[in-house]
Parts: sequence; C-alpha cells; structure tokens
Amino acid sequence: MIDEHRQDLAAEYALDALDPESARAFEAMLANDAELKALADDLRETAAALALDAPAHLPPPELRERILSRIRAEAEAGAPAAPTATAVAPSTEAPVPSGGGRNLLPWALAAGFAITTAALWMERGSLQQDRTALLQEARELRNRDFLAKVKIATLSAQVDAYSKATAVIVWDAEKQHGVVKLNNVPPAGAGKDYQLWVIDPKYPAPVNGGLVPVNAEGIARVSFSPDQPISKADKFAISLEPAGGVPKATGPIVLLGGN
Amino acid sequence: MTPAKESDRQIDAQLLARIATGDEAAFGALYDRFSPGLFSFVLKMTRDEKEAEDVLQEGFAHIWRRATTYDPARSSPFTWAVMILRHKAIDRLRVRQRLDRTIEKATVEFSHFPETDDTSAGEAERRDEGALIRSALVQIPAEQKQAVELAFFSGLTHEQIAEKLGAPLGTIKARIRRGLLKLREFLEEVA
Repeated sequence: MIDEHRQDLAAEYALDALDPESARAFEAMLANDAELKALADDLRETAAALALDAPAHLPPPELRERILSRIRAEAEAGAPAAPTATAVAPSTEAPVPSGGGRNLLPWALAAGFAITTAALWMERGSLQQDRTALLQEARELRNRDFLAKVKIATLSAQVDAYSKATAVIVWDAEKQHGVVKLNNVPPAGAGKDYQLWVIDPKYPAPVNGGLVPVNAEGIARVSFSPDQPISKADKFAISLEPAGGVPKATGPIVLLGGN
Repeated sequence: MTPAKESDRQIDAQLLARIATGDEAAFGALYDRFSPGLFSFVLKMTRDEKEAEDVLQEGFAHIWRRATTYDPARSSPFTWAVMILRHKAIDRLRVRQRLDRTIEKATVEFSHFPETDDTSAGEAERRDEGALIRSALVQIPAEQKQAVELAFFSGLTHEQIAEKLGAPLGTIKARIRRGLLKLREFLEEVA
C-alpha cells in the first residue's frame, strides 16, 4: 500500500513538478520500491494521455521538410544546428528619421538628453537596483531561445518626475507585437493619457503604439501593435498626451529608450 | 497503464530504435505518426501557431538527437515525446508569464479551436484515444479536472496553481493526485 504522501510525490514526479533535488531523492526511493515505480510510471502515462485532449490541428505541411532539413544539417555537421531563430541585436543607434517634420525636434533633443538623464538616474541607489534587476531579467530573457528574436528595451526617464519610473518593452518584430511594462509611474492627470510611440527610421514621425493605461499603483502592463508596420524599432518613447490619445505625438516625452 | 495500444507502442519503439542509429526514414515515419497529436497538444499549451511550430521543431530535433536515451521500461514512445514537447512549451510559457501575467488567464480558459479532419496513419487511433481521455475527464470532479489540466497544460507550478485557485497547496496536490489516480482507473477499465 502506497501512502498518500508518496502518491503525492509520484503525481508530482509524473508531472515533472518536483525540484531537481526532490526528484533525485524520489528516484532513489523508486530504485528500491517496485510498486511505487509502477505507480509513478502509470501516472506519467496517464498525464501524457491528457495531450490527446487537445482539439485536432495539423501542423503546416512545410514544417515536416523544415525539421528534416534541420536534422540533416545536424547529421552533416555532427553537432546540433544553430537555432533557426535569428537574434535581433538591440540597436544602440540614435533614431535617424528619413524626413524632417519640425515636430521631430523635441524627439531628437530628447534622445540626446537621455544620455545625461540616464547618467543621473544610475546614481540613485535603490533605483539602480531596480534597473539592475530589470537588465538582469532582460539578459536572462535574451538567452532563452524563445526570445532570441525579440528586442528588449529599457526606457529612461526624461523628466525628474519620472526618475523613479522603470520601463521595459519587449518587441517581437516578426509578429509586429510587443509588451510594455511600467512601474512607479506618476498618474497621467486629468484629461491626459500616456501614449506609446515606436521610432522607426522608415517613417518621418513616431508611429503610434497606443495608449498605456497606468493603474492607481503606477503600474502598467499592456500588449501593443503599432498602427503601421515597423521595419526597425530604433527606439520607444512614452509621452503624455490629451486623453484618448493622438495620431501624432504632441506631448512631452517622459520615458525614452532603445536598448 | 497507457491508452496507447501495445501494437502502436511496439511500432513506435522500433522506429525510435532506428532513429537512434541515424535512420532518417524512421524519423520521418515517427513524425508522421506523432506530429498531428503533438502539434495539437502544444498549440493548446501555447495558443500560438507560430510558437507551436517552433516547439514542434525543437521537440523533434531533440527526439532525433536523444533517441538513444529513450527507455522503453519507463514509458511509451508517445509519452516520452509528449513530455519532451511539454518541457519545451513550458519553458516558453514561463518566460511569457514573467512578461505578461495575462497568459495565465488564457491557460485557464483554454482554446476552442475548430476541429479539423485528421487522417494521418496511426493518428486516427490516437484520436479515438483522445475521445477516451475526454470521456474520462468528464467523470472526475470539476475541481480535480481543473487542477490536473492546469498542472499539465499551463506551465504553472503547484504553488502558482494554489495561488491562482485560492486554495492551500496541500489541497491542490491532493486534487491533482486524486484526479490522476481516477483517470488512471478509468483508462484501465476501458483498456
């Protein structure tokens, strides 16, 4: 008879829910307990059967050949082939708008000012920890295959009132979709909204990324898809605009960054 | 106990043994047998066709490289493949969860994609087995079904499931254990 505690462990083991140390300890138990091993194996088979509960969908026919090509390449190289995803290196270049609308001047100035502001920001001890943690997270994410093709941008405050704010944007160029996360952002104020912009040198003006509603705790977590196709997301900016947003940026930039 | 028929299991195990020697034809045959079910499965987990394709590609590349490590005494080939792809899908889900907690809502709701015809060799029988598991799932208490599905499909840890469902961790573990044991009993009965 297997007691409930060991049944729990067997269920967790079957679902790979045990941490590595616990899993090793459980495997040591299995080595001396055939009944428990049989239960763990049965539960793993049972759990895997849940996969069959998914609605039927066929993979695209061309995927078969892609996978076969990959394993052929691995066989020829004698080693795993390079991941198919292409890394998009975070750009460190300043935005180079192709046209010269005069409303771009404040954006260009803001880009230059970002260096000074970032330097001041870095001096703030507690905020430094936030930024370090964010950058560490960003580095970890970049190392993951899943995110090899996305750009992760940290934004810097452009005015003192936002010096405590932290902002990270994850941009998937292939899907033309991103996620923006803000923390410690002051309320937009009556009649105002925060709005996200993507600066792509292909366009003379920043591309509208949509409104970024910030809650009472100063936090925002929003998915976005820009109004126009983005070829190269050089920088991202958040400005304060009239409530409901505007098609072209008019308000002050409060957060800006591109890498 | 497995819903996979013994004949299927033997065929799949033979294919894996050939793959372990670098047999590309065997790999193609295994892909044809497994890919519809595995793609449906990872699509349910990721809710994104592009990501599901990436997971399928990574998973089969892993199967190609690690076929020599398959242990027939421990699991059926299909279970082995499911667990490989589940790991890869969970890796992606956990990264996503850190970026956007809304994904958790999506994993609770699960997708309602339209069904498509599936006539791949070996897969038709697996569809029957899918009907079996679905009929088994409706026979276990809803709270156990919810906990088991979250544990299997969502990539959430048991602690996260407890937090999400507002129940003590011990309760969640018990629901998962009881749910899996009941599913096992049902599948044994109909085998």
